[in-house]
Amino acid sequence: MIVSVVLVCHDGARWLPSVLEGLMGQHRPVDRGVAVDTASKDETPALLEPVFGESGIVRQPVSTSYPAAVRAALAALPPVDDDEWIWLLHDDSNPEPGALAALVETAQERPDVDVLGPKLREWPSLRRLLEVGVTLSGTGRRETGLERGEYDQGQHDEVHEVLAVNTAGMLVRRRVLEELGGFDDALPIFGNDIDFGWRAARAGHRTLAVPGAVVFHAEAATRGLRRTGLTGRHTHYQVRRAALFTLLANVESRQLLWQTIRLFFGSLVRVVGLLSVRAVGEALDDLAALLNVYAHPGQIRAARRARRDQWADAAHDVSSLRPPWWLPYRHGLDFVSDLASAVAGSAQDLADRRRAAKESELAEQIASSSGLAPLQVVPAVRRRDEDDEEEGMYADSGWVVRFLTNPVALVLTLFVLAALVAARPAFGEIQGGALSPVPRGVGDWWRLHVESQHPLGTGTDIPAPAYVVLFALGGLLLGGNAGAVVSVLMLLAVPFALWGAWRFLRLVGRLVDPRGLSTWVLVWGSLTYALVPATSGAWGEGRFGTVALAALLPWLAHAAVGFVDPEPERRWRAAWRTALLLALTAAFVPGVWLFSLLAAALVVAAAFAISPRLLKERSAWGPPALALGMVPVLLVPWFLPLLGTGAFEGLLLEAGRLPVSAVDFVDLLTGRSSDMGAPWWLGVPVGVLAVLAIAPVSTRIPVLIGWLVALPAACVVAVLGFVVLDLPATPTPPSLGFFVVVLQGIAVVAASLGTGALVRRLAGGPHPWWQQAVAVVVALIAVAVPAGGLLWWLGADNQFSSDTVEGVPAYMAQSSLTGTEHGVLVVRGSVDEGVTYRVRRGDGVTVGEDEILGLAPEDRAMTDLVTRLVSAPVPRDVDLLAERGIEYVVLPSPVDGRLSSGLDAVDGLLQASAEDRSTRAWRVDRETSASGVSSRTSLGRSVLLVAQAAAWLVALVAAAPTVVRRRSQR
Amino acid sequence: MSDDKTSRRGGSRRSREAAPDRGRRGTRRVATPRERSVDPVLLLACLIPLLTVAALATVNPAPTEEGSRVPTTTPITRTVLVCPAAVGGADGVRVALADPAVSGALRASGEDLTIQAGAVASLRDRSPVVLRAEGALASGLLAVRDGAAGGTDCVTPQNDTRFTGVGSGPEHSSVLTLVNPDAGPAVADIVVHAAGGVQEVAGLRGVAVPARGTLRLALADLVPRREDLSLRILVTRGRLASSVLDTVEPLASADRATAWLPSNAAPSTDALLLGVNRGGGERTLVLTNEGEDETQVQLRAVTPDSEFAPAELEPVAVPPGATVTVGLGRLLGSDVAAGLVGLRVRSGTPVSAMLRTRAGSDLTHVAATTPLTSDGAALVQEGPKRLLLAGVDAVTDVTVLQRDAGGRALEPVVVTLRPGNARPVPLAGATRWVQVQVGDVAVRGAVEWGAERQHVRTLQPVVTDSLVPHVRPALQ
Repeated sequence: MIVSVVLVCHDGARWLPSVLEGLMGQHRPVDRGVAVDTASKDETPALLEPVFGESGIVRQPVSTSYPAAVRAALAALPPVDDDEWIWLLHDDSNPEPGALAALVETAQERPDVDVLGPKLREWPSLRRLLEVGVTLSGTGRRETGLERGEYDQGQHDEVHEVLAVNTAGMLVRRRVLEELGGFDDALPIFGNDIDFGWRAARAGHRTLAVPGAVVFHAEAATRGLRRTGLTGRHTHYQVRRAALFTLLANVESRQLLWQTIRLFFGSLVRVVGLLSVRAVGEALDDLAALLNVYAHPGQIRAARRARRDQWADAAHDVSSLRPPWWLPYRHGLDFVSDLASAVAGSAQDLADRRRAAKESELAEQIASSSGLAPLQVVPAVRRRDEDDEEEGMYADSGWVVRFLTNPVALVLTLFVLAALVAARPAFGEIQGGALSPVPRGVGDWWRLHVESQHPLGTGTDIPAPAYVVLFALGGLLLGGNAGAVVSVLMLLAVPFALWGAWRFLRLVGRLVDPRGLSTWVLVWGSLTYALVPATSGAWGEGRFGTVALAALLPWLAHAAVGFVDPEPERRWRAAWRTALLLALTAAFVPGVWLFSLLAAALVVAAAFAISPRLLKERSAWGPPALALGMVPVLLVPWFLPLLGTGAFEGLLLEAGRLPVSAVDFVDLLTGRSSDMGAPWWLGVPVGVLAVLAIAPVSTRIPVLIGWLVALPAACVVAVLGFVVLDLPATPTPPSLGFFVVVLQGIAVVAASLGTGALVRRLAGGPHPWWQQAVAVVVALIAVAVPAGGLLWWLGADNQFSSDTVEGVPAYMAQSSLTGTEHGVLVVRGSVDEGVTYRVRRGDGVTVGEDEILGLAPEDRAMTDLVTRLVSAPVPRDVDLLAERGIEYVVLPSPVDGRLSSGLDAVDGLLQASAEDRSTRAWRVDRETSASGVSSRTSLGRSVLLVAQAAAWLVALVAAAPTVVRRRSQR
Repeated sequence: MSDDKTSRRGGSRRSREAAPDRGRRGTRRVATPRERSVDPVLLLACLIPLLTVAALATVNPAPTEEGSRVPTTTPITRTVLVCPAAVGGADGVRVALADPAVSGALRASGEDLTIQAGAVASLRDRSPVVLRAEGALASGLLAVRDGAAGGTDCVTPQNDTRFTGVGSGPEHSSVLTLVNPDAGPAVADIVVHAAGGVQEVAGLRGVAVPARGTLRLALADLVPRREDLSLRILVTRGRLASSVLDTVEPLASADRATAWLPSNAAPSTDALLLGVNRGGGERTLVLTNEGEDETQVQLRAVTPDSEFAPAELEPVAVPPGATVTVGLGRLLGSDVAAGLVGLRVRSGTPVSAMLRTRAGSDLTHVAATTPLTSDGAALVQEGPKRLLLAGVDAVTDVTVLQRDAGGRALEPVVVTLRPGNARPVPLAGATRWVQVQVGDVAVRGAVEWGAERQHVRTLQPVVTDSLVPHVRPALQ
């Protein structure tokens, strides 16, 4: 048995001395060898010469790929024996003295084996395992079967058969290597080892991982430590491309189609995943690799043909050497859970970071002033939170026991269950109040979002409300069921608000006091806030804009608190997060953004007065400015056309049907936005507690800050109270639901801080009886608010049962579904009290269309036409109806005979039947056309849509938390 | 212990952020209140919530009132009048326009009928005549079907018409004629108010009249009754012009009296029957209460000088939905009725009222007059006649215009009307068109003629404008 070493080198002087030392120190020395140097610019040739001699060095140009280098080496080593083995080494792979001996020993013991590979350990750490054999998953991921950064403790020391081994340290029978044509030239640097192993396995050769042989590998190329023309700057691209190529070139024919499809979509998911951890470069590399491989199917075909020729009919099944099919999904799950914990943890320790920053600042000050030196003590370890202690206490028990013995978890769970019961109407499809019926399919929402002119009413170019695209996306996730989107929103708003309120209150509590809020105060505050969508009446009225706003607001507030993070980088990320949440909220209630602008202006003014220095620091004013400035960009397909069409009123309204209900003083104080709300006296205690919260001195400043936010809100409300938006179709007050929720939210936060202070004060030691009595009274009143609210909600009335009577006969509604040109003109009213009209098309006015029609300017020509129709119609008016795509005219009951008599008399209108005899209807006896009201999408609109998609992508990536990448951990 | 440490540390840190806090802490720890000055934080803490609540207190949402929804008027451009078929020997239809300057041709049952400026045009046709006028001719168009005791006004198709005091028995019978002038079918529901209340009559629900068709309904066949009835014709589909031919034929008498029953004005709590004179014969007052509560009806006699409640007349109770008749023969034949020109019918809830007079083979009807808020007019016959004006609630001047058959205007008469009395205005014998120009105060009027002034025609509003409803887009 002859072992010939092949050492391929390129600029490896950094590692080469050790490698050569390791090579020379082998217990079983190599019999002969050759080094290939691909035009190294460092001392590599000089280092090689003493070992290999001038004749033992094959010089190749810099463009030589690894397969070509190996081929050149073999050419320089004429075969000497049938039992010749080639030991491949890289210039950054250093074999342990016993490596070759172990490999050779196994080769001799197992004559059926043709390829052997050592155990690769990380160089320079030396202890971490890199590979003990390798395989390729169905998604093109290099699977080693090892944990990240796993230490070698002999746990993988079984000799076992594998699909492939790394070329660093590979011992391969020369005959086999040559029979298989060496390594594939299509894979110049990366991935050729797996490809070779796979081909060998298909041809019936066995590959063994021999853990007894250890090689230390620096992975210089993979880590980008060594860049050549072949690796390029984008090593990730090369790695990914090689993986895709290998997979498609080697997979069995019957799996090829499925593999091709799976790999394509799987790669796209990978791209999204990489983007979500802000690995933009790798995501783009992935995408480029995918496009490269899929754009050159000829390469794959050629590679597959070559392989088929190699193993002829005797291809062996390698499926046992491939990883199980579910492995990529487990990795995906791990990734998602990592991401989730990163998201959860990203802002949570903000309070601690601020405190730490303050402490270090303080420590610096103390250190710098000698007089304070005695105070310089090592900061005591922060007391652990009560939660943590509880968690520690229960850590050993099972989760069921932990859950059942944790009263907080029980209360919250019961609350969520009760909230779901109270929201039970939403389990079906709901409509009524401010909530229109949902469209027939999610496609209608997409169409609405894409269109620049909507075939609604008499045709309008008012943009679709910004939330429509969110609903459309949600509908996609819910399998195209539009009703489910609204149901999910209405069902989960309260639990989601609870979660958000819990996180926000906990953060605020910790910011105010390192010990945080007492758990029960936290529970009280979160529950009270979570019920705001219901007790305000927004839920029962179907005002889903306010409901969504209430659910999102604590999350938004939580993100915005990130502006005070001591680390600028985190402030910027908080800005992106805030921008996203602000855009989400503003999509439902645009006033949120306007108020944020105002609040920001006030803060800037205050900051300028207090500390002008702050305004010079970009990372101080930049993040809030970014967050506010991004909102119009994120909502650009709605925002620009809204301004362009002059429908500024849209900024003061909210999602849902018009008109918005007016809100008065008592409503604002007690957190009610409609008549469907809980009794007003149930809302009084929160307001009273919020006022009393200024009493405890320890939390007075933070409570005051809360009130400072409430004051401008109240001023804006006071101004808006005088405003009536005179829309063409209906006058309406501006939407004040946002202010109701904000004021209620501030009141809950203030009350929580105040009661938190009271609880802390009473916690230690005995107190006078009156103080305890006050505490008991406050607690009782406070508990009554969420408890009463929940009980009220469980039995509360809502407007979902009252179905709006459309007044259009069913057969007309059916007809209008067949096309835009089958519109129905619905005229109501009487001569004395005035007449209103609307044009119903398609499936009627559905969610997302109310806002468009509400803002649509009056079509004067249509109004004139209707005026003539209800006073003195002539046949020409009937022609005009047909030209506007109106097939039927309906006067729902009760009908003013003076209106209908003219329509009865005019030629061209044929009386039509209606289920209700007192409803009058006519059919337009003309060919109708929809040319004037058809759906259109302009180029400008497309540009806006693309801009929006790009903005969301950028914002999502920029807001994503940092998940520490595997490679950097190694 | 560690708790204490933490709070002290926290306190010292906070002291750098907020000086007032330090003061407070110091106070509590040392318990020597030295600082007497007002804590600015406390001041703000009291002031800001106060200001917030004050700002909220100003919120008083303005009621979202909708703008004016009052209909506007526009010159009428199309008028349809339907004259019932002829009865007896006379077959004439007379047509005239309010504006004496307008002349032209209108369509009368498919043929052109030319009207000279100011003149009264006439045509002869026994079948129902549909008059269609467009443009200037549509404004102020009036027409009369002659014959059968003074003739009757031609009517515009209405969707709500009332006839009070129709008959469906052997002695008093009425025939309702419905004419549909339009190209689409028309459907009407006819409500019957009988003595016992609303009478359900299957044959009168959903009565369909084909396009451009005429339907005659003999009430005696559909709802045979001895007592008087009232009809309300509600057109649910299309338009209908309705007329009622009323016949009184007492048993054991050869006297057969026939006349058109004029449609009645909308029920009112203060109806005025103008043209009620002292005289013999059967004088029957028919009252109909469409409401849901019983009402008491008080009758008052109206003379040119005064208005009084005759002592003989007790208040009449009219049950809900019912039609009752009151015999007034004795009262109106007595001296009490000397100088009488009208009857005033006052009630708690709106009622319809009509007075029927039969003397031998003469049958006349006096229906409640419609208050005229704008000009009113009537086409009258040659011969002695007088105009009765009454029913004002303030002193007002009205101008009476008259034209003869050729369109020549006679001298206008200005009349001052006072509340509480009626003014008879003699009209020239040649007058064929009489028109009353009304000021701000609503006026009621009727023209009476004949040997005993037994024929009465109430003034019809001169329709020159049509109402155009206020139209706006809606969301629902």
